Amino acid sequence: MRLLNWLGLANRDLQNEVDEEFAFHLSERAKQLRAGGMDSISADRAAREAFGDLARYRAEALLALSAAHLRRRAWTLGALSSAAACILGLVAGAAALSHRDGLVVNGLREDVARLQGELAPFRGQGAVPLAQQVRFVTVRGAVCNPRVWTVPSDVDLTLRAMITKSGGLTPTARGEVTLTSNGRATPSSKVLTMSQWLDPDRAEIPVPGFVTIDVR
Amino acid sequence: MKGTVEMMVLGVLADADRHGLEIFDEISRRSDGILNVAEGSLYPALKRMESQGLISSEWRASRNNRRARYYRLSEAGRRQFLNKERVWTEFAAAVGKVVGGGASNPSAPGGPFEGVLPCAS
Repeated sequence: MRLLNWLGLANRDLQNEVDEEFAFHLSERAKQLRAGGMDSISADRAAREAFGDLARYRAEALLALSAAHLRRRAWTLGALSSAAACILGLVAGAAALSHRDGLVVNGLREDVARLQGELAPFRGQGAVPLAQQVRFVTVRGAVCNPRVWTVPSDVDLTLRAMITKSGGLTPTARGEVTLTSNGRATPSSKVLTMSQWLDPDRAEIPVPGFVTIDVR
Repeated sequence: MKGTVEMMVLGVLADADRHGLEIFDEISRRSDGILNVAEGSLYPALKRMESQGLISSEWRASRNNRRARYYRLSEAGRRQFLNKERVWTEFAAAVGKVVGGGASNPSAPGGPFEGVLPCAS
């Protein structure tokens, strides 16, 4: 019954609205007839007769309202279905990738070495500025939907992340990095779980301009 | 005739917001009481038009301070009214000529109103 109500097929609110609207019509019509000299009983009867088949019109009105209500709900259902499909897709993709060689956390050591090599030219600088297009993806085996990852300037965090400057999901630049903000390296004690930080909803943090990384 | 009630509702809501009883009375007044239909039949049409986005409604205090559901023409409804008003006028004139024993049927193939469907929703 709750589902039917949500879908508008047995919506008590809709029924009450139609009933109240019909009652208003009947009582106002009867009032007009009384004002014209008709007695109260006759006026009520004449108002009902002029209105016609109340049960039929009530049902037809409710059907029209329910159809509209159902269309609105269909949008919600469609959006929920799409969201559920996306989540399932991500989970399935993550599960598949986690079983591929080179993308699991066990390979982290090699990846760190490779990342260190790639970032070697910047080592003397202590920190490497990253453009906003740089994306971070977890290397725990699960894969985050690559999105622009930005970090507020006042946030300290340490991530094990895969970085790709091309925007693609490539395993060529993975490693454990420490993010620093405003020149301050973050303590490793503040490691956050990936599930928290890779939530697509929470990943959309206001852009600070840039962040810096330092290879550990 | 299909679409007639919708056309009349659009017409009486074009100049003012009204509740169901006022809509019915205004239609009756403008038609000099010729259109004699059950008053309740108006409401399913109103709900359909609302679900189509042609009109919107809200509860308001009526003139005698009772809660009443008022209907208002939406922009889509106003566009539809203006469009159909012209078609309807032409159609009504054409039907009048035909019924009055005029020349050829203007809605017939090749006629000036071929394909005109004045009240299709």
